[in-house]
Amino acid sequence: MPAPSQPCNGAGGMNQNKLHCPKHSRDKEEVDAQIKKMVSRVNLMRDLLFEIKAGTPLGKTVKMLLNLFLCEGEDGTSDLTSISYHKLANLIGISHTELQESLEHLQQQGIILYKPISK
Amino acid sequence: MQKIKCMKELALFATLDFTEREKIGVLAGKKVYRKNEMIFRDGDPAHTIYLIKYGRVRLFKVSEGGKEITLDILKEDDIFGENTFFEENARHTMNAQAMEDTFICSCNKEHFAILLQNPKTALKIIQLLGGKLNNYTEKVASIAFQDVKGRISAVLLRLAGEYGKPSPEGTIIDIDLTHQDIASLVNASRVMVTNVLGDLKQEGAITTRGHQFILLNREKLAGAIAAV
Repeated sequence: MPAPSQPCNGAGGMNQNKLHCPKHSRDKEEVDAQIKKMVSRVNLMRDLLFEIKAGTPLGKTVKMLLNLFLCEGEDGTSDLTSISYHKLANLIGISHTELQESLEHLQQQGIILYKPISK
Repeated sequence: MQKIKCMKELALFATLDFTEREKIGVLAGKKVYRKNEMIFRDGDPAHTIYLIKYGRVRLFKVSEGGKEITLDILKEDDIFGENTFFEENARHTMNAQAMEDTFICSCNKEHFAILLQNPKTALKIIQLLGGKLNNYTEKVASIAFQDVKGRISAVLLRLAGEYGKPSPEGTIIDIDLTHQDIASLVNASRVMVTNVLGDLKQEGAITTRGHQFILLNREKLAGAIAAV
């Protein structure tokens, strides 16, 4: 039996036996990466579903943002620059701090991109 | 052979040849969970992937207020427990409970990783996960955008798609559903669900036979979904 440290195709080794190597190891890595990505996205959506159903500040924020973005402007974008943190928090029914934490969480998860505008 | 018979009948492994399924048979465990029996709880160590041979499983989490929030109802050929697959020392982040007597095949993470080495199985898993992602995205959108009537209509149409059987009357949703089950799925009160179902019956969109629903007019249900 060849030692485990021998290269897979026997190159440089005296033993003609080949170690079993997975075919297309790069493809296998890509498939694993794809599965990992899908699992991560499924977890994210399931967690958001829980937050919305449970009525948490994060869930309320997501629900409000979805409805706000549903109202598209003429060019297909929504202009939310006129909405202050305070106004948005009131609209949602949560505190300013809860709103900020929710928005930061959504940004960390890659769901939204936002930045405060100083006037 | 019993293990092979159990696993080979799962759609997930339908594309594998006999030798490959024999390997799976060696790796798989199986168990029948009785109605309402917990399969795992939030916080339990997560080292097993589960596959439903027959029956139904409810995934739920408990809110801070102590309310059980149903996230999904899984059926034959569904997998679950995969959400912590890539984490070391992972723990479950939700609860899984059998809704009826349910036969489940299982294998631990290490063995499942061996199964994933087969590209056909891996592709099947990706397809299953894609389906789950679409399902959860649709649920988020449904709850965010639709009123209770729209959400109930959407759930009934979805369940008809998964469990529906044609009949002279219409499509029978071939599972027992209480008003509370529907309330948990759409995130509404049981009283509200009862009222809406009464409206849908009066409109001729649905009727009931015991705890089973029969869709009489899909267009009316679709209309309730579209009316945001």
